[in-house]
Amino acid sequence: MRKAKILIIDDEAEFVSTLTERLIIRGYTANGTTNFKESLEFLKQKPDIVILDLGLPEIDGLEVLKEIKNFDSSIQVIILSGYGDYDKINKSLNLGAYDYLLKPVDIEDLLSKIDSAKLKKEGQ
Amino acid sequence: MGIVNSEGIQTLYIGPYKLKDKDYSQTEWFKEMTLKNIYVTDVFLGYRKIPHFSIIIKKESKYQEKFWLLKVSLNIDVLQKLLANINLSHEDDAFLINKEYILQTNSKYFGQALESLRIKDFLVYLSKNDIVINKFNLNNKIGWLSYATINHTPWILVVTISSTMPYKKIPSFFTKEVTLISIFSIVITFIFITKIINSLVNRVHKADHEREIAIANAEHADKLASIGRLAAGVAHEINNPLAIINEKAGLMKDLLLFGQLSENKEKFIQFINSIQHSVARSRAITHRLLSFSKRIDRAREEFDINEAIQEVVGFIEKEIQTKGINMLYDLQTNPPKIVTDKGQLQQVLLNLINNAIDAISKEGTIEIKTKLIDSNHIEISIKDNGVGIPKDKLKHIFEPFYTTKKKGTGLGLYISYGIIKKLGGNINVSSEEGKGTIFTISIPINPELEKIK
Repeated sequence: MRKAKILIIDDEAEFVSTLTERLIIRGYTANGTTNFKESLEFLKQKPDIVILDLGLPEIDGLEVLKEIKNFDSSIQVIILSGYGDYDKINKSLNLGAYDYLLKPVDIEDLLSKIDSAKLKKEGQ
Repeated sequence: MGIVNSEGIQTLYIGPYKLKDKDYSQTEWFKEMTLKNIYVTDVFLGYRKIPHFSIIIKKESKYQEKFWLLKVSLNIDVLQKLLANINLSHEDDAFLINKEYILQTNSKYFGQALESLRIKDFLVYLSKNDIVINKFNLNNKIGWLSYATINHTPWILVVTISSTMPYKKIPSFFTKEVTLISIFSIVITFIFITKIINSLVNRVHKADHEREIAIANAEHADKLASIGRLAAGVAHEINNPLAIINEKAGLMKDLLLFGQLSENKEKFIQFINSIQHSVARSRAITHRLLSFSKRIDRAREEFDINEAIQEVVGFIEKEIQTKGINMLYDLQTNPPKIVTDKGQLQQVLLNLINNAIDAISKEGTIEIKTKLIDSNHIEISIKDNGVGIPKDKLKHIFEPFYTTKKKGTGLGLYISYGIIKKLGGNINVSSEEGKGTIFTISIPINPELEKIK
């Protein structure tokens, strides 16, 4: 099975660049952006998985989640955020997020989540 | 029947007149009640313009410096009926007067209630329990005038008996008929009324006490909720730099495992710098929190109000950014340092700014103003262009458990109001539905100077 194509959307530029590089080292195809508008362009490249932060400055992360699901409901969205707010976790899961991880995350946990999300997408 | 609070305002009233919210603070009986626990007034006309009297019972709160008065007002008919029970011939007369010789009930020969008694020369000041019997001349007829004080009341019972009754019989008649029936029935009526009032007051007291406990519990819950909100914000603030540290350190490890150290030397230095920068970010947050928590214990200190506002905004910057709220400032240049409880004032500011954020659904403006209004007062206003508060709700917003938010506890503004009053200041609100709300606080720059004034 081909390794997942991933898009990272997070307002912390350093986090985006570093995580992107670490995923690429491991053989994934990865892109990252700190900007919601730019992320719409990346969505056209049909990623399998989006890693999404909820605390974006210009727009509520939950809105972004809706946009992604509207664009292509087969894209699996993993929420990766500093917020441990159960209300937000529940809302994002109800909106169709694959899972919710809290920052900082262990890379192995993230990878296993990415791989199982990819399996789910393949199964659809 | 009504309940009067320690400010003299009748907060509850049941009866035929519109006496709710009546201010009794300037009445004689209200002043008496600061010293006494039970008080029976003279007969008076009062607001209702009908002769009546009141029995007032005081109950003090164990938890706060306040009390309630339960006030029962009775028409003088009650007294009149009691006097009618005395077995007298049609020529005889029985009535009550007070210590100033003012008639408290209607008399056959001496006038109506509230008129001055014309035969006061006969009367001498009575000691408790004394019964006095005098011979006297009424309309050229000789008769007997007897009188006795009634315990627990401000009244004297007066009875005139025609001379057809032999003098010898007068004392026993008076004792049997008059004292037994009249004095006893009056005293017993009072004891009965007092008991009822007492049990009612106890019930009110219990309900109020339970409410006080509920408020204390809810205040605690509200504090926990705001700590929770603060903690969630702080956790997010720290989790982000931690995530950067985690990824940078992880990538360094990746490069050691997958690549070669010498090739990546420059990159490594960059990563270490980035890690140190993230540590500094986290440190700034924890240090700010520490100084905030220290301040909660410290009661009074000297500080710059503009800086205190910036600190509060700093805590919720992320939320302001996320919602796309535009912050405007119109701050007093070089304001005098104010001396007050900074932690508590910041709690109020945090609450008001949070409310402003909640009032704005998306993309709005919050304007914070500080202005010196006189030599010892500074005004802080927080204005938003959010949903606003409807007129009928506005008057309730400082009441406990009142909220216009879906998930509000209804305590934020109640607590804020209490804090500002405690700091010697004032808090006001004006709002227009659909246009926005402005909260204005004025506080003394130095509360000590305020006291000297």
